[in-house]
Amino acid sequence: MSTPRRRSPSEVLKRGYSDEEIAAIYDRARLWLESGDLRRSESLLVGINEIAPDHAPAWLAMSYIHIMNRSYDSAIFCARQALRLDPNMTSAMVFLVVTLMTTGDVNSAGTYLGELREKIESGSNEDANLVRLVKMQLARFETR
Amino acid sequence: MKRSNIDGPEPFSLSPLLAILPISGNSAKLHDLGASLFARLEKVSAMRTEEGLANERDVHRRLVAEEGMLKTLLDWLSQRDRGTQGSATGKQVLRATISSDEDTTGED
Repeated sequence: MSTPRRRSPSEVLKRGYSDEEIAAIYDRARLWLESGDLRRSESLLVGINEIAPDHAPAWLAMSYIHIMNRSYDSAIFCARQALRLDPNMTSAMVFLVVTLMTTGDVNSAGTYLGELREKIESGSNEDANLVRLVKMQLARFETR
Repeated sequence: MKRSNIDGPEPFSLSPLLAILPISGNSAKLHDLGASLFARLEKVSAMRTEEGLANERDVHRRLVAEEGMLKTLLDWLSQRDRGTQGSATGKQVLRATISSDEDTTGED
């Protein structure tokens, strides 16, 4: 008789939270970001990243905190994590463009910008804020 | 629509990256979860001090992260509850003031 697979401690921990609870905690963290309370927001996001490491928005919010703290390498890592978990997350691409341009990796930023431009021209993204930000980054890229 | 001059700045102009963060979930649902969050905090704190688990570095890091998250949430919920009680007290004071005014009027 085969023995049941031993669950890793992270799986055991995650089982205590529903997707709705994780989303509610993320929402609280995002609201604290809006009010400028990075410390409390970070505390929640670090927790989400540990108990639900497949929650892409939490990785992206963590990237935002790293950008605010000028830790650009960590910001790139977190935005890449978000994009790996959700390859269609255009906001993660924008985060990568912003941070890569800041660190001077213009070639990588250009690759993501090209992909973003295609998505916008095809009309697959209608978020006005995102489109504005991409256009700003395109201008930044062209005048570098 | 044209914006009024007395409107506050739009979120995008304050922080463009924050404006494109995904919106999901409803933090208002956390208000009903205080008891279960507290139970989880007790469980996680106990696990963290367990000898076998505490020695595993990765597990310890996860437990510390979850414990920090739960403490932050519970602190916020308790602050919020105190605020609610404060406003209830304010209402009671208001009621008491109104009733004392009525009493004074009655004496007249």
